[in-house]
Amino acid sequence: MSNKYIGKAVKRVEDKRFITGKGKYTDDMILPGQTYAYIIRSPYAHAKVNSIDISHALSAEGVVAVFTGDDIAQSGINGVPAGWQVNFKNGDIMKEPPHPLLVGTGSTVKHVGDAVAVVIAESKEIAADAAEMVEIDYEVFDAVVNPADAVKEGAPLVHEAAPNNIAFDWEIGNPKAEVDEAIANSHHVTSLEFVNQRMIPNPIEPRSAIGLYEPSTDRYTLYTSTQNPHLIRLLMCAFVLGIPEHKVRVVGPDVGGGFGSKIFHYTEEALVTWCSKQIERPVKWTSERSEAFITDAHGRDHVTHAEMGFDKEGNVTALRIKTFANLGAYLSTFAPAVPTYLHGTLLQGLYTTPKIHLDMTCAFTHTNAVDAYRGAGRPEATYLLERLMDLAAHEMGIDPVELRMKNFIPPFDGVNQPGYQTQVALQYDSGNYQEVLKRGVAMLGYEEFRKAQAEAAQSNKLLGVGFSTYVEACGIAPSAVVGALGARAGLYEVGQVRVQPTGKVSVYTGAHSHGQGHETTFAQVVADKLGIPLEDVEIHHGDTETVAFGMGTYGSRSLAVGGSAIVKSLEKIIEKGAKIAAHKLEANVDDLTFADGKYTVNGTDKSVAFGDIALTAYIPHNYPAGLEPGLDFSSFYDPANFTYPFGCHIAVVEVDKETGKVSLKRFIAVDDVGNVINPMIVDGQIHGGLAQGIGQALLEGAIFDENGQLINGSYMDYCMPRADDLPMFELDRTETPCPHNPLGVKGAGEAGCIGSTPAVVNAVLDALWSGGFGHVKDILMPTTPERVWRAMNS
Amino acid sequence: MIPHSFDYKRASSVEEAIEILQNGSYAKVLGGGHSLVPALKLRLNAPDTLVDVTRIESLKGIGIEDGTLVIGAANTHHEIATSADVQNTLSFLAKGASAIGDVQVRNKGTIGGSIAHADPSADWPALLLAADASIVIQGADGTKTVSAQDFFTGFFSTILEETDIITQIRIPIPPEGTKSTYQKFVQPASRFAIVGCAAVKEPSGATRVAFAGVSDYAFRDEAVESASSSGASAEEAASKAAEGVSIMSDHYASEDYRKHLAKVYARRALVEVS
Amino acid sequence: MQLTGSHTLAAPIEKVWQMLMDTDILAKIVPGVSRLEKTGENQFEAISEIKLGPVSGKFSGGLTLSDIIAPSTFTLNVSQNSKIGNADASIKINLVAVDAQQTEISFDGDAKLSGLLARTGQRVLSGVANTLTKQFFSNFEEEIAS
Repeated sequence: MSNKYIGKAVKRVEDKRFITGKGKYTDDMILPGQTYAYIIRSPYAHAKVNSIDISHALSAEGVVAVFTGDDIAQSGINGVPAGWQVNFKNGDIMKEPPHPLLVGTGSTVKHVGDAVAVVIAESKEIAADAAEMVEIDYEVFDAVVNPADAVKEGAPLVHEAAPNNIAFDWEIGNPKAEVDEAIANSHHVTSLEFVNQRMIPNPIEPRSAIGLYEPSTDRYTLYTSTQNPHLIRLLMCAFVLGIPEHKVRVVGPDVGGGFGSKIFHYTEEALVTWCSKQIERPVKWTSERSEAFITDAHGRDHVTHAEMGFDKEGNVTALRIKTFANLGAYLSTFAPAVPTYLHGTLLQGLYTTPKIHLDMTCAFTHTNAVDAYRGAGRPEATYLLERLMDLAAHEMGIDPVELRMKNFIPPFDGVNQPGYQTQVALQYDSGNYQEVLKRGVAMLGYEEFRKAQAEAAQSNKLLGVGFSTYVEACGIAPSAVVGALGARAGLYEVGQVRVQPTGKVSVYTGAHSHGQGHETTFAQVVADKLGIPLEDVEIHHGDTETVAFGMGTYGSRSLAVGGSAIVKSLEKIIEKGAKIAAHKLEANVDDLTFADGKYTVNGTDKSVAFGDIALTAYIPHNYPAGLEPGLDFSSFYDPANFTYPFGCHIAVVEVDKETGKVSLKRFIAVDDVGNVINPMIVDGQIHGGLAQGIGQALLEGAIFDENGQLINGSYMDYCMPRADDLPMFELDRTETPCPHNPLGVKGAGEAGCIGSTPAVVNAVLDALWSGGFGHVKDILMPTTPERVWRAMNS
Repeated sequence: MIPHSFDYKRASSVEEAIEILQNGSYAKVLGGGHSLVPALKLRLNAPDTLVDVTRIESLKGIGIEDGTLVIGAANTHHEIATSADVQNTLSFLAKGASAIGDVQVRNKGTIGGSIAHADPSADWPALLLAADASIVIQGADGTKTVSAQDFFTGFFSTILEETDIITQIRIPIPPEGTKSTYQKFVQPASRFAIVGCAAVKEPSGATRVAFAGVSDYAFRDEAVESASSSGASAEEAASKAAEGVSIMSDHYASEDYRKHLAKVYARRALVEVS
Repeated sequence: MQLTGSHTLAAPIEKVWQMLMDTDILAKIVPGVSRLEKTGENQFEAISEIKLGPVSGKFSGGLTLSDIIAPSTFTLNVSQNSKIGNADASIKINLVAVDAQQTEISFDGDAKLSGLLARTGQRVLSGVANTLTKQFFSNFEEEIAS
C-alpha cells in the first residue's frame, strides 16, 4: 500500500457545504404538516407543581395541543434512565430516579429548566405566545447546588429515594489503609483543596429534534441533533417509550458541534416522538440559547481534596483523593461513568505512583444534569495531578520539569516492552512521556524564560510558566471491559464498505461526525487502502436506516474504533477481490499482490485494476465457482484495549499586578495521538480543544446562586473564549503508534482540552510565586482578574 | 428567542419617525438594535411598533463645522472609529469606538442608539461626558441642544421623551495640544466596560475625567478633575476617583474591586494625558 | 439581590409610620406598583409595572406586612410573578426618630429572582437595586411634601 492521502493535510470535503451555509441541520428541515413545540420550564430549582391550567392556551388560535406530565404518565412512561450503572461501595445498585419527560401535577421540579408542559402549535411564535397563557402554581422549596453541601445531613432532598442526595459512592485503587500508611510515611505531602468548576458545553447549534409518526405504516422517525443516533434509538425504544426498534428510524443529520453534550438521550427527543404519535403530525422542537444553558448536560463540577506524598528524593509515594462529584438532578446517559471509570482510572497519570486511592461521592443537586464534556473525567484527573505536581515542585523547591522527569513511567512501545499496568485498573498501550516534555521545554526556551521572569518580577507585569503532562484513555472501548464496569451497551463500532459496480465506494460508519471531519479522514484511509482517488469514496453516517449499527462519536473513538471497523471491511473486500482477480488472471490467489489499486501476479506485469474487479463482482458472467456476487462487507470492530494518547502542554502568562488580569502570552502543545491520518484536522482538533481547556482556566464557568438559579445564563455573562483571547498556538507532535489497532491511531479530539487547563492555572500561580506571593496555593477557576487580585492581596 | 409580534416601520425622515412614535401605543426607536433586539427576543420587552431610524439620511454624516466635530446619531461605531475627522481632532473617541463590543456590534450599533439606551457600562456616555459634547434632540415641539452632563439622568435613563429622536452629537474641538485617552477594563463576555475611564487634558491644565461601568450611570468625577486641573500628580488625583458614588457590583467584579480598578484606570488615563 | 438603604425624611416618626400603613400611599411609594388591593389583614394583591432600561414587564402577586411593631419596624414581603421571571423579596423596614421633625428610615432585605431575570440580568442588578431604592425615597419625599 502506498500512501497517497494518509498523513497528508487533505482539505476537508465537508467544508464546501458548511462554509457556503449549505449544511443541513435538524432545524433546517421542514416536514409536511409540521408543528412546533414550545416547552414550558420551571423557573424554580425545587418546587412542587400544585396545579397547571392549560385551558386558555388550548383555546388559542393556532394551538394544536397542550400536554402535561399527567398525559405522559397516563401513557405509562416513566422517563429517561441512565445508560451506565455504577454500584455503591457496598454493592448496592446506584439510585436512579428516571428523568420524567414532563413533571406532572403533585410532583416536584428538580432544577431550573425542568419541563412542565408542552404547547404544540402551527408556528413557533404561536406556541411561544400560547405558552404564556399556561398558568402553573408552584410551591417553592429550598434548593442545594453544591455536591459537597448536598450530602450533608439536613440538606434539601432532590429525590426521596436517594437519602442524603447520594446517587452512589465509589472507590478505586489500592486498599485505603495502604495508601493512608504511605501518605503518613511520606517525607513531604502536598495537599490541595480545589474545585473543578461546572462548564457549559455551548455547541454553536442548539439541540433540535423532530418527531414524525406515520399512522399508515405505524413507523416513527426522529431527526435529532445528536452524536449518537443508534444509541438514542435503543434507549428511547427499549427504555423510555416502549416502541419496537425496527419501527423507528433515528437520523442525526449535520450537527453543529456537541463536545459531549449531544451524546445523551434527552427527554425532548422522546417527548417530540410521543407528541407526534398523539397528534399524528410531525412535531419540531428547537432549543433557544437561553434554554440550552439550563437544559443541556453540563460538564465537570468536582469538589476535591487531594494529597500527594513524596520521598526525600522527590519520588511520588502515594496519592489520596476525596472528591464530591455533582451529577445534577437526574442521571444523564453517561453521567455515572464520568467521575468513576473515565476519571478514577486515569489517576496514575504518567507517573510511577505506587499507591493510589480515590474515594468518590456522587451527589444529586437541584441543577441540570452533569455528564461527559470534552475529555469527560480525564480533564478532571489531569487537572488534579498536574496542579499537585507544580505545587509540590514549588513547595519542595524542585524544578517542575525535573520533578516530572523523575517520576515518569519509562518509555514503552507495547510491542517490545509490555504495556504499563496502572494501580487503577487500566493497562496503558504505549508511551514516551519524556520525549514530549523534552520537546516542549526546548520550544519554550526554558532558561531564557526564567531570566525574563526574574526581571519581570520587579515590575507590575509578572510572568509565569505552567506545565502539564497528561495521558488519557481514548478509543472507547472494549465491550467486555466496559460491560464489567457497568455500561449498558457494547462500545464496538460498525463499518460497512459497499463497492459499487463502477468501483466507486460508499462507506457506512456508525461513528458520527459533528465537526471532526470524518468524511475526509475516513475517505483518506479507504482511498489509500484501495488505491483509488479520494473522490471515489463517500462516507455516510448518522442514519439508523442506512448504517447497520453504531455507537456514535465521543471519547476520541471514531478513527481508532470506527476507522478500524472500516479497515476490517476493506480487508474483506481486498481478500474477496483477490479471488475474482485470480480467476480473471488465471493465477493462484497466493501469487497475487494488491497495491496501487490493482492486483498483480507476482513477478509478472499481468494485473487487473480494482475497478474491473468491482464490475466483475456485480456482472459475474465469468466468475469463480461458488463465490457470491457483489463486493460489500460490513464489520463490527471491538477494540482490544483503550488507546492512550499523551502530551505536554506549556502556558506562559503575564499577570497585571495592579488588576490581577491574566494575559495568555504563549501556549505550547506537544501531543502524541498515535499515527496521524490528516495532520491539518489533528491540528484543528488540538486548537479547538486548547481553546476550550484554556476557556475553563481563564474565562468560563457556570454560577448558580443558593436558590439554584444559573446567574450567568447568557453570553453577556458566561464567557466563551474568542480568537482574540488566545495567542497563536505553538504545536508539535510525536507519533507513538497504538500497538493494538490496524491504523495505529489513538484519537485526538479531547487531548487539547485535557492538557491545557492545569498548564494555564499553574502558569498563573507561577507568576504569583515569582512576584513574592509564594503563599498562594490555589485560585478558583476561572482565574478572573478579581480572584487573582484577591489572591495577591489576601 | 422568539419575540412577541410587532410592527416594523422604517422612517425616511425624523419628522416621520416622530409621527410614528406619537401614534403608536407603545413604540420604540430602533437604532442599531444591539440592546433592544436581544431584549425583544428574550421577551423582556414587547413594544407594538419599532421605528427604524438608521436609514434616515439626515441622521448620518461625520464632519467639522466651525470648530465643532459633528457626528450623526445614526452613524455606527465603526464609522466613527475609522473617520479621519474624528481621528484628527478627538482621537480618543475613535479609540473608544473601536473598543466597543465586537466587530458585528461596531458595524451595526449606532452612537445615537447607545446614548439613548444609556447602559451604565456602555462606553459612549463616558466618552461624550469627557469630550464635553452636546446632544441635539428633535421632538414634537422642535429641536433642542443639551449638554451630555444634562442628558444622562440615571440608570438607563436620559432626558429623552418617548417621542424624541437624537439627531446629532456635537463636540467642540479642543485647543491645539490637548491630550485625551480612553482606558477600558473590559468584561470578557459582554465586552462592556467594568471600568472605562475617559480623560481629556487641555494645555491650560483643565482636565475632564468621566467613568463608564463604575456606577449606575456614567459620570464626571469632579474630585479627580479638580485635583488634576490644579496640578496634582496622576497618582494623587486618581486616588480620589469613584468616591461618594454608588458602585455597581456583580459576579465578575465586586464593589471593592471595581472601585480599586477605577483608581487604577484613572491613574493610567491621567498618566497618558499628562 | 441585596436591598439595603437608609434615608432621613423630613417628617415625624408617627407620620412616616402612618403613611407606610396607608395602602394608598404605600402603593404610590413602592416603585412600580400601580395597584394595591387589600385581600386580608395586612395582605394585599399587588400589580406592578417595571420599565427599566431594556426591560418592561407587568408583574402581579401578593404583598404582605408582618412582624409589625408600631411605630418602629415591620417586614414587607413581596411576591411578584411575571412571564419573564419572578421576584420574592423580604425586606425589614426600621424607623428611628432623629428628632421631632425627622425620621431615619432604613431597610435591609434580599430579593430572590428566578427565571430569565435571574439568568440574564445579573450585570445590571445592583443598578436596579440602587435605582429602586432611590425611587422609593424620592417617592416618599414627594408624598410627605404633598
